[in-house]
Amino acid sequence: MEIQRHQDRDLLRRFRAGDRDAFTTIYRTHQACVYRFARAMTGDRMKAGEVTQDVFVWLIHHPDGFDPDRGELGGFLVGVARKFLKRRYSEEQRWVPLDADMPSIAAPGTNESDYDTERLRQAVAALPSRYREVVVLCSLEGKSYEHAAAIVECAVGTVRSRLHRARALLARKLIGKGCPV
Amino acid sequence: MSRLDDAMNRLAAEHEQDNAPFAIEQAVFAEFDRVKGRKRSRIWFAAAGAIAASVVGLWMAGAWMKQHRPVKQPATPPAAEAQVDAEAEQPFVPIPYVLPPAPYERVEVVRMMVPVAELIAAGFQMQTSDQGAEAEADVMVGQDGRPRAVRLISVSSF
Repeated sequence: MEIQRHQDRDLLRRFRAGDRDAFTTIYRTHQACVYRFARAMTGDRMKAGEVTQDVFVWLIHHPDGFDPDRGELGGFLVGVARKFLKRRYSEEQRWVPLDADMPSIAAPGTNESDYDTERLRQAVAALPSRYREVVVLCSLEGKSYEHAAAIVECAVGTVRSRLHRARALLARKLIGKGCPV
Repeated sequence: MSRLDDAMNRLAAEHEQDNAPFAIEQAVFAEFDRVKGRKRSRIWFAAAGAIAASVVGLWMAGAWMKQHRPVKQPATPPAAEAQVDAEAEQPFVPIPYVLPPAPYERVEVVRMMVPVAELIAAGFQMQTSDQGAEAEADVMVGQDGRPRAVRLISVSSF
């Protein structure tokens, strides 16, 4: 953690001085987690790309926006992406509905490998955003509860309860009420 | 492990392979170059502006100093200075039969060429053979316009 912060601090110092190589390192190190978060949140590659671009362009225009003493740059950029996504939602009033006619893809007792990952992705994208965030961060990105709590700006207990509720919703939407969470 | 966990793990594994398209990287770097280039040109513009302002300021200061510089008087040669001192040391000689100026009276000193004959007529002892000659003198004139005293300047010529 300390090493990562030290590296972030050094890279940011060089980036603020206009070093293109430092910015390239920052981008290539953190673009994937920002893009994945945006893609999981939107369920759309194109929108995820736009959000990723928005995040790094924001960083270019606000080089002093991040304080290395307050956390890791990766988590901070995901937080920026979250704010961009929220703005998008409020502007577009976009909501991704789960197709009501979508049949359950796996009935109780069928093989686990029958899960359609694409449908699970759509189901995740259809979750309310407060649940979707924690599923993406904890279940897909593998971040700790503490880290996720810092990104979504809430208590660790809230992350736990939201994650539990989100998994119940996913299970119900995908395979019915009988699915073990 | 539940089915949901298994599906989630597979989705996470697939999710891990995702990367932003190369076009995004190009667009971001283009923006970086544009912003940094603009900052660089801003710095150059600022530096050029500062230099231009300094040049204009120096030029204006030079012009102002040229206008307001005190006029340098031509240096007085030592001989002339000595002459001026000698003139100042020469006393005014009262013109005979004329009342001297009162202590409160304001007088003027006028330098003029005075005919030597007039000086002789006024009672001055002048040794010259040329009766039409003139002598340079400071004449003290009273408030009434009458001469009260004379100080000869070109004494040496007589």
